[in-house]
Order: sequence, then structure tokens, then C-alpha cells
Amino acid sequence: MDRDGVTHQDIWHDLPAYALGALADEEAQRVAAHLRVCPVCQAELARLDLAAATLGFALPPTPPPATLKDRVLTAALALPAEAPVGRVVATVHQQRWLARLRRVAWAAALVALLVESLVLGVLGVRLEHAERAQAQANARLAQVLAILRQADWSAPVLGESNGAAPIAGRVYVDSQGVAGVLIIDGLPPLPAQNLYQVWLIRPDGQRVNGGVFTVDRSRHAVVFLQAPDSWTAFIGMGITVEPSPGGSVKPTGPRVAGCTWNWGEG
Amino acid sequence: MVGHEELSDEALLQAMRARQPEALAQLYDRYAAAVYSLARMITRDDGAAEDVTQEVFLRLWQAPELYVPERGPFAPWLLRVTRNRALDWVRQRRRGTASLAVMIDEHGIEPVGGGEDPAALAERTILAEHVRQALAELEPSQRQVLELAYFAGLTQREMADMLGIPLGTVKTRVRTGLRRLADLLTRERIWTETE
Repeated sequence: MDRDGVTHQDIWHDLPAYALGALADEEAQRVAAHLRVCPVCQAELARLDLAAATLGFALPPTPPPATLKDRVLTAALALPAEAPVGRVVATVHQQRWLARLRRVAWAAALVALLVESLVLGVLGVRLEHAERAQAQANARLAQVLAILRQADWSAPVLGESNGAAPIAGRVYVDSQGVAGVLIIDGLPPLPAQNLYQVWLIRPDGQRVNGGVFTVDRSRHAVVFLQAPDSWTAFIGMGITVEPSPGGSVKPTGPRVAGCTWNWGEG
Repeated sequence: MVGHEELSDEALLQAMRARQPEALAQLYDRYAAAVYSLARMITRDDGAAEDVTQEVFLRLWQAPELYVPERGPFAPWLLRVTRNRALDWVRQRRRGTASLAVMIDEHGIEPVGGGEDPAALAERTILAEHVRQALAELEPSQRQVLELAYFAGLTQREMADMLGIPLGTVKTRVRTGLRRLADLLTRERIWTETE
């Protein structure tokens, strides 16, 4: 029982209404507070959430007007790409990365807010964009931190700097071998029409898109990598310069860094 | 561009994070009918349903990382987002909402032909049938409060006022109804069969 005399059983009874959003605000806040400390109720809520959401699938499926798909895709392509930008040095200790990563996420959201406030000058629009920028930064940071915490394999990434400033980094893969993070330092900023694209290399030499990113003047980047298969399906990685915003289907630009690995060596 | 045929939702979301528009097109084909149908059911307005559908997919395109796989399957999450957007629209305008039975009477339970991916449409139709069967096993009074909460966004107090029954009765029906539905869906292994 908590300070307000509310018991676990009281909350348990309210969970179905909470999952449906049918509680009054005060009741919902009480449930939310209990959920933060009760894994049993968290598990039950997950089950009830799924059941509630499934109600939407009972409807007869009615396709939207055929023109809507084109409108959605056209509007999507008109939106600016939001490639991740980082500021983390690869060679420092992991605990220092985490501290810097947190600052980067907040800084990214703050920069987005400040720029938009200058350009837009409309409070409602600004708040919505800031909220989205913060949500994206937080979500990206959470993904990166989760992978770094679980990472039990990593490989060095070396740049092809050709006498220029050295490029060095490391790629980390989580214990399930499904998600990766690239931390790299020394890449020069690119003109607006270009970005960096990561390629994962299969044993037969095929290159698979692993994500795109940009760097700012700090020349550092932290990139969440998308692998379409388990990481054991790949034997290396390369980074090339490609056209913005979406990158290329296959490598077309100069290779700036990369690495190979051998899973057989553990 | 690597083809996205038969890729999982998660693989398509990963491709979206890499800004591949084909992935958005595939997810749209897979889920637009479900999203649009739910938005239309809640808003009772075709134009609003289109706006909500567009907004949901654009938001997904802009921020695919808002979906966290560890918290559950993608499809229910997408419908939760849709429901929230549609209810926001309704709350601003206080439009009425029909019952599921009325919606089925008006439109039937067979899918209407359209541009949706046929495999996705078949999968959604099977899923809809499973969910309707599960709902049919509930008491009508339980089904009624679940629909009022889910599709109309009413609180338990609002449902009690609207139906003219004690608040405690509504609470019991909500509690018993949703837990029973969850049990039935678990028994039917809904998500393991369709995801």
C-alpha cells in the first residue's frame, strides 16, 4: 500500500481501463506512478495494451482513396532527411562516451529548437518541432546506449585518409548480433548535396545499405546501423560519399573508411 | 534499391531509418487500410480519416524510432498512434461515433477492393475475423463498454452517465471484458500467427 492508501490490487483492477484510456486523469496518474515500480503490473499492462489495440483490427478493412498513397509519398519525399549527427570521439573510455552522448542528444535538440525558433517564429509550430526533435534524439540515444551496454563484439574502423587528418573509429554489435553502432572520428564535413553511407559487405562481395549520416565541424559521428540480416552474414563494412538525401543503391562515391572481420576468430 | 518484398515490419522500419521511400510505400500498402478504417470509424468523416492516415504515415517516416520493438508488435502500436490522432480530432469537434456493429452493417465484413497489397489484405482479413470471433465471446454489455472506450474515447464516468448505469458496473464490465478479450487473444495466439 502506498502513502495514499492505494494497494497493488486497486491498481491491478484499474489496468484494463488504463489500457483503454478510460480513466480520469487523476486515476491515470495514480496508475502510472505505480507502474514505474511494479514489474508485475507492467507485464499485465503490456498484455492488455495488445488486446485493446487489437480492437482496431476488428473493423472491416476499407482502403483509403487511391490518390492518398501518392500524396503521402510525395509529402514524405518533400520532408528533409534527418540523418544522425554526432560528436563523440571513438577512442575514449566507454563511460566518457555515455556522458558525451547524453550531451550530444540534448545539444542536437536544443540546436533544432533554436534554429527553428529563428526561422519560424510561431510558438505552436516551434514546440511541436522541438518535441519531435527531442523525441528523435532521445530515441536514437536510447538505441545507441542499449547497443553499447550489450555490445560484446567490436572491430576497429580505419580511414583512407591519404595523408590528411586520420580517420579512426570502431563498430559495436549487440550480444544478439542484430544491431550495431558505429563511432567514428576524423571524417570531414561534406557539402549539402552529399552524405556518408555505410555499406555492409557480404562474403560474396555484395554491398548492403547500412544507413546514412553526416558530420559537423567536430568531425565525429555516432551512427545507429541497420543490418537487414544478422551481423554474422557480413564480413566487413565500408563508408563512401554518396548523394544526399537518401544515399545510393550501391556504392558510387569514394570510399573513406572501412574494415573487415572474421567471425571464425571469435 | 534492394527489393522489400515480404520483408518483416521491422526490416522495413530499418530501411525507413535509412530513408528508403520504398519501405514507406510497402508499409503503407500493408497497413493503410487498417489505419484508414480505424480513423474513419472514430472520426466518422472521410476527409478527416484521410488526414489522419497521412499524418500517421508521415510521422512514421519522420521518426521511425518512435516505435520501440521491445514494447510489442508494430501493427498494434501503429493503430494506437492512429487512434490517438483520430480521437484528438474528435475531441476538437465532438463528433459522434458509431458502434462496431453499425460499421459492419454499413460496410460489411468483406474487404473492399483497393490498392492494398493482396497478401497484407488477406492477413488483415483473417486477423479481423479472429478478433471479431473473440469479441463475439464477450457479453454484449462488456463489448459495448470496450467499444465506447476504444472507438469513442469515453472515460468510465462518461460511459456511466451516457448509459445511465452505476460507475461500478461500468468498471466491472471494462475490467472483465478486456481481461477476457486478452485471454481469448492469447489462446488464439493472434500475434504469433499473423506477425
